[in-house]
Order: sequence, then C-alpha cells, then structure tokens
Amino acid sequence: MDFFELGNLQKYFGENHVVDDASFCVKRGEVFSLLGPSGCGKTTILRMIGGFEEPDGGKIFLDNEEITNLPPNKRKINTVFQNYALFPHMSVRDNIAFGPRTSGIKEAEVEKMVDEMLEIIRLKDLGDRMPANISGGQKQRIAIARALINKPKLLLLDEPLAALDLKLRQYMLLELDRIHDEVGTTFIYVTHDQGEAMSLSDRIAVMNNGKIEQIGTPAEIYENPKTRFVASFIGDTNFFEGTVTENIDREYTKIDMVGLGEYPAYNDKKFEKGDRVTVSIRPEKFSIFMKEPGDNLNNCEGVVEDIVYQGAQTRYWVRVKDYRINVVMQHNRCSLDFKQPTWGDKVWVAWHRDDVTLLESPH
Amino acid sequence: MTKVNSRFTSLFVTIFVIIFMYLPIVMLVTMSFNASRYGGKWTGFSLKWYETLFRDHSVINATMNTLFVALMATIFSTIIGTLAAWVLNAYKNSNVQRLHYGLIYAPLVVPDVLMGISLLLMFVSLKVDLGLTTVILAHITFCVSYVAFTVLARLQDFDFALIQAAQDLGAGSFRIFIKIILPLLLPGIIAGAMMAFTLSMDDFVVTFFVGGPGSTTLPVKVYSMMKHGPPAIINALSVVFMAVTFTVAIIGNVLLRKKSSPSRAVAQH
Amino acid sequence: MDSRSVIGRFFSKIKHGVPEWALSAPSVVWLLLFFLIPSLLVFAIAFRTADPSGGIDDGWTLETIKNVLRPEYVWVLWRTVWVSVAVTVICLLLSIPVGYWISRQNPKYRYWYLLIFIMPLWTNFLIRIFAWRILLNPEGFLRRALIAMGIIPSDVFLLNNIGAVIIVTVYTCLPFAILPIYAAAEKFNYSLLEAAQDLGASRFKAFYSIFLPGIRRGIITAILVVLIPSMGSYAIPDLVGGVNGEMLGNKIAIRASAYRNLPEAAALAAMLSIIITIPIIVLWLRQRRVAKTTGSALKSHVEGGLVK
Repeated sequence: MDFFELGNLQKYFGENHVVDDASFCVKRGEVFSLLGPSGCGKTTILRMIGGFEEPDGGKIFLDNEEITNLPPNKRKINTVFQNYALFPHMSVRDNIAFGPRTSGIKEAEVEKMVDEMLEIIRLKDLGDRMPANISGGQKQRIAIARALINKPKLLLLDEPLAALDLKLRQYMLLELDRIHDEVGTTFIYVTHDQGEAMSLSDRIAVMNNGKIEQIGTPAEIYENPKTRFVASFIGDTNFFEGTVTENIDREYTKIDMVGLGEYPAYNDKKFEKGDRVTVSIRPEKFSIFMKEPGDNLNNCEGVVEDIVYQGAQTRYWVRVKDYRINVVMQHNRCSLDFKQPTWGDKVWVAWHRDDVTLLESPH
Repeated sequence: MTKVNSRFTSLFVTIFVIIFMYLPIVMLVTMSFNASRYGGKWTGFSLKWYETLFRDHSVINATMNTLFVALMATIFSTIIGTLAAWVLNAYKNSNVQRLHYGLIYAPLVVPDVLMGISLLLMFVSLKVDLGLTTVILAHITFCVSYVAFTVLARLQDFDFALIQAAQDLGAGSFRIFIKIILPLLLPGIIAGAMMAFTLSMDDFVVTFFVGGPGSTTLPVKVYSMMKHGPPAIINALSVVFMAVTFTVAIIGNVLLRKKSSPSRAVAQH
Repeated sequence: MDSRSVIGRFFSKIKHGVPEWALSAPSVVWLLLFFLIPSLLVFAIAFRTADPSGGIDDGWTLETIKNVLRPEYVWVLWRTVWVSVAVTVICLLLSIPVGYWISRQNPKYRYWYLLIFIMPLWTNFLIRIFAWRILLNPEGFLRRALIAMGIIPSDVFLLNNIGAVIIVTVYTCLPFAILPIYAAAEKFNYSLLEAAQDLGASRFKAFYSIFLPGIRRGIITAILVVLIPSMGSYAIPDLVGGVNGEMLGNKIAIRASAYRNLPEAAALAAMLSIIITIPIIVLWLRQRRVAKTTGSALKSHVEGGLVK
C-alpha cells in the first residue's frame, strides 16, 4: 500500500457528479499535482482529503490509516488556502504558532519552532507584522509556514499562486520547490496552470469533468497523452482524423489521415486494422522545408498562411488541403535548409513517425 | 467642457448644503455666549448661562436618568441584538429566519411617533405605571434592530475560510470561537453597543410618550425648556450636550476605524 | 460549494447544544411583545371607548373612527402628505448632486467629505431643531439681513409656519438621503457617462438616462428613509410649525398627552400606519428586487446610525 491512497472517490453536488470515481496513490515525499480546468473537481478532491467536504463514496488512506470520515482537526494533514486565510487579528508569529499552541505545546518550544519556520521561509524580520501589512508573496509563505509547522504527513496546496502576479508566481514556484526539498513533506498541489504543475510536480493527475484522465510524470503526460483532452489541455497540438489501414509490424502502423494520404505512425496503444483514430502531432514536432525532404520523413505539401514571430521561436500556420497545421520552429542556424519561409510560400511540412500520438477517435 | 460644468453644478450645490447644515449650529454656539436673555441681538460675551445651567438640579437629574436609561438599553439590546444577528446569519435559508429578519427590520422603518403611541397604549391597557422602566423597555426595543444589523453586517463580511483554516490547524469549536470568531466580531458588537447608547441618549419622541413623572431624560428636559424656559439657558445646555456627544462620536469613530481595518483588508481579498 | 458545508458542520455542533428556536427566542419574543403586538393593538384600541380619567374603557364604539374622519383631521392628513413629499423631493434634489460630488473626489478623502455631511447628526435631534429656532428667530440676524437686503418684506416671519417645518425636516433628513445616494454613486461606473456622450447623448440626457437609473437603488432607499420618517414627524412641527404647521404626529401626541383621549390617538395612529404602508407597497411593486433594496436601505440606515 502506498503512503497516500485515494480509492474510487465520489462526490455529488445535487445532480452534479463533480468527482467521478477518482483513484490515485501518492508516494512519501512526492509532489503530486491535480491539474485541470476550473470546475473539473480538483478542488473538491482536495477539500475531501482535507476533511472540509464529505465524500459520497470511496475511501481515503494516509499512512496505513483510513481517514475518510475524520474531521479536519483530527487529520495529520494541513492546507495552504487559496487566499491564504491568515488570521487578520494575529501577528505573523501568532499565525504560525496557532497550530502548535492549539495542540498544547509549551510556549518556549513553540517560539523555537516558529523561529525555525521563519528561517525556512526566510522572513525572520516580519514576525511581528500584522497580515494586513505584508505583501502577497510574503502572505503566501506565511500560510505555508503556518501549515508546515505542524509537521503534517501531507500538505495540501489549493491554487497557492493564483493570487500572485506573473513575476512573483515564478519566484514562488522556485521557493516552493526549495521548501519542499528542505522539509521533504508530501505535497498535493491543485492548479489549473500547466506550467506550475509541470515544473513542480513529480507526477500529475489531469482531470476533466470530474474524472481523472491520466496520471503520469510531466514528460509522460506531455509526450504521451492518453486522451484527446490531455493532448489539447497540456500544450498545443494538431489533431487529424484517420483510420488504421495496415499494421506494419508490432510497433508501427499505417494510418490513412483523412485528406492527406497514408503515413506510418508509432502505435503503442495497439490499434487494429480498421480502427478509427485521432492523430495528435505537437507543433514543435513538425519541421518546414523549402524543398521536398527525404523519404525517411513523413511530409506533405502546403502553403504558408500565417506567421507569428515570438522571439525564441516562430509559429507558422500552413494550409495543407483542409487542414491548417500549426508549426513551431526555433531560430537556429544549425538547422539545415535554413531559409525563413514567408507568406504564400510553397513549403513541405515534415514529421517523424515516432513523434505521432495515436488517440481514440471521438467518432 | 461638459465635465467641468457638471462638476461646477454639483460643487455649487455641495457648498450650499454645507452652509445650510452648519449655519444653525454655528449660530447656536455663538448665541450661547450672548449676555442677552432672549437671544436675537448680541449684547456682549457672557458665561453666566453656563453657570446657571450647572447649578440647575433638574438638569443634573435628567442627565443621570439619560445615562442610566442608555446604559441599561445598551446592555440588553446588545445581548439580544447580537444573538439575533448570529441566528440570522447561521440559518440564512430557514423560513423562520426570514420572518425574524422582517421583525427586526420593521422597527427601523416605523416612525418614532407610532412606536411611542403603540407602546403607550399597551402599557396603559396593562395598567403599567409609566416611568424609567417603561422608558428602558421602549429603548431596548428600538435599539435591538440597530445592534442586530450592525453585527449582521460584520458577520456577512466575516471570512469563513478562517474557520476552516483554524480547523485545519487542529482547533476545536470552542477554541475557534474564543480565538477567531470573538476577536473578529468584537468591533462589530462594540459598534452596535455604541450605536444603541447614542440612539438612546438622543431619543426624545418615544421617551415623551412612554415616560412618566420620574423619568425625565435630557432630551425631554430640553424639550420642556424649549417650550417654557428662558432660551439662553437652552443655548448653553445645547452646547454642552453637543460637545459631549461630539466627543463620544469622534472617539468612537476613530476607534472603530482603527479596529475594523485588519478584517476589512481581509474582506477585500 | 466553497465553505458552506464546513460552516454548516461547525454550526451544527452549536446547533446540538442550543437549537435555532432557542437562539431566536430572545429577539423574537421581545419584538413580538414590545413591537408587533403594540402595533396591532393600536388598531383594536381605536374601537374602544375612552374613560374620563384618560385611560381606556371596556366598551366598543365606532364614534372615534367617525370623529377622526372629520375635515379637520383630513386636512391635517393632507398637509402631512404634501409636506413629506415636498421634503423628499427637496432632499433628493440636494443629495443627488452632493452624492455625485463626493463620489467624484479622490477615494482617499471621500470618507472625510462624507463625514462633513454626517457630523451634524452627532448633535441631539432637538438641539438641531432648536438651532433653527434661533436662526429663524424674528429678532435673529438672518431675518434682519433678509429684510435689509430687500429679499423679504418686513412683515414676513420665518418661524412658526409650514415653510419652517419643511426647511427643518429637510435639514434633519438630508444626511440620511446623502448616505445611500453616495453609496450608489460611488459604485457607479462613470465611464458610462462618457460612453453615452460619445454615442451622441447630451450632457443632460446622459445624466438623466444613464446616471439616475444607475443609482436607482440609492434613490429608492433615500426616498424610503426620508418620506416615512417625515410623515411621522412630531417634534419639528411642534417646535417650529406654529398653529398652521401641525401634522398628524402632533395630533397623535396632543390626543395622547394634553387632551388625554387614547382611543382617538390610537385611531389617528392607525391612520398614519395605513398611510406609511402606501409608499412601501408602491416601491415594493416598482422594484421587484425589493429584498435587495431594503437590504441596502438597511445598511445605509444602520451606517447612518453608526456615525451618529
């Protein structure tokens, strides 16, 4: 049994099935993210783990103990709330000391623990300030300290960076990572921001409409999405509809991509001949050539319709029959055949058969 | 150009209103230092009306009555009103509370005259002797609504995530009440109590109806002096009265603004 | 979805200790005993006979009702209504520009500007009336100044007439009108006025068809908190109105005290109760979101009291 387990969790709000049979495991010391658009049920799962919401079905285990029906104050779990929820009438020190004082730890010991926490979050000088008089990033760190001082087995973070501006968010992401390395506590992190989830997490659960669509490391989720939703929610992608025409060998399959023709593709999901599939190819997996590339690359011919220069890269939209293929090219003189295409140019869009992800077709 | 015009119009009216509001008060204060007995013409600076005032026992008596009534009304209405606010907020969706809300709202709309006459009629039908007790009962009645709504406003601004945070940190109901709810609601309760106190001190109409021989409060005394007494003494009395309420109000306002600022900051998040 | 269930659970613990009805009991019982029952009692006592010593007798009669429908009283009733309406209109005409002006000031100082208009409330109600008696005094400087400037003829008195009643009632009600109108104007999105003018509306048209509807809720609240108390006005007409300035409140007070006839006072009070419900019902019908209106009415009412 893993350190933390969630088994077949269910939650209804009236008629709404907001959490539909959610199950996952988290290892000790891991940073595990619940990622999904707003309203997907991720916060509800977090609130059920924290004890703020009662599940309508399923079980929750922490460290070999079932906690499904324990009240929040009896769980060895602490939460960092979205808007911090710092007590406005208490100083920073008193806020951080709230947990230990509640559990009856001696005052001298509490003071020591608070000093330690202030050290960890690097806000030693702010102890006597009131929450109204500190910045958003500082509030965030104090909320984390207030939770971590209780030495929870599990720390829940509910969109902890959502209220911060972009610069601060990037800085706090590094801070969170550092704090996690320092204390080693298991984190469950809820966010709608894929960038946050990717850079912080060991593993991610992608959620949609109350269901967990895929669980995996950031690379697995990006490189090998299991569903159409995951492929489109994480990063950009191009979708093509197609049918399997022939299994070349155990690994490769020939796909008839509607309107484009037949191309070989890596087939890890064991689609059979005649199956309808959706082909997902990410923009950066494509390359643009001014003349027809060699046989070892899949390619098709098209016309450049739109170009958006983005500094580190350029984004092209190439019209190929009924498709507008989105291509991202790095500006890099090592690439062969480097001549920047321009509007109306006739070009070849090429991709490698291993860079193709086959997904179940919705049709 | 248009902006300038509409601002000019509104500025003009605003200045007019300020003059309109302060002219009588300025006149009153000036006249209280007038030596003339009947006001009107200025006949020289004098403090003699203040001396007369402070030697008048009935004024001192009325002051004591006023403070006693206000104190009693404040204590009871604060307890009743705070409880009412708590229930109204905790059981928002109950039909009983919808009626309760109406019952608490109605006294705010009903004119004083109606409240006074209806209480008088009830006390007379029940053959209750009119006096300080009936005045206190009446004052509690109109103060309850104001206290309830002041505390309710506080409760509505209350960030309930704080309760969850405290629970999350291991606190039980009692500790949450003592450490979180009470300190955050106290400014609201104090504000309600202060309002009850000033409303009670200020009331003339209701007291006029339900008061008896021994229950003359300061406003009632002022009224009878305005009707029968020499005007100059009332000038002096008014200025003293005004100075006292002004001081209380300013202190209260400063206190409230300070106390309420941290939780307001939270409410704004 | 957010916090309800936790709060519910938290309060349900308290619920187990003290049930809802027990927590509601103090205020409900109190207001039933000392507010609702007395208010209804007024209607019953209007049909009672008066006893000679100034109390209420056991008999029943319709005489009192007939008596208060005499032209003398109907005339006073009419005066009560038109004076209150006039006061409300004047208060609106003054408080809308003031509310607009404050809401256009730097947010840092708005509170202090607002305070200027609230501070007069900190003086006792009677003393504010008394201050007007001094100001309007026949020997006072204002009347002499007005006569000297030729604005009024020398035989005009400022005190003890219906004009004085209106001025002083406006004076006492104005802060209560300014508060809700300012509160609404502060939330008004002023770029809408520029948008309207950009689309070709005249300044007046923009003000009339965008700004006024925008602060509608504040205006309705202001009407409520000015119109109803002025209909029940007693002290002001009594002290500055003279014989021709009497209103329904005075008649009630006189019947209740000097001429000790309680059933007649009750009948007049019943009449007043019925009259004040009319504007409430009209506003109710006009504005379906009455719950919200009264809610904000309350807030400003309470805030008005707060600074008091």
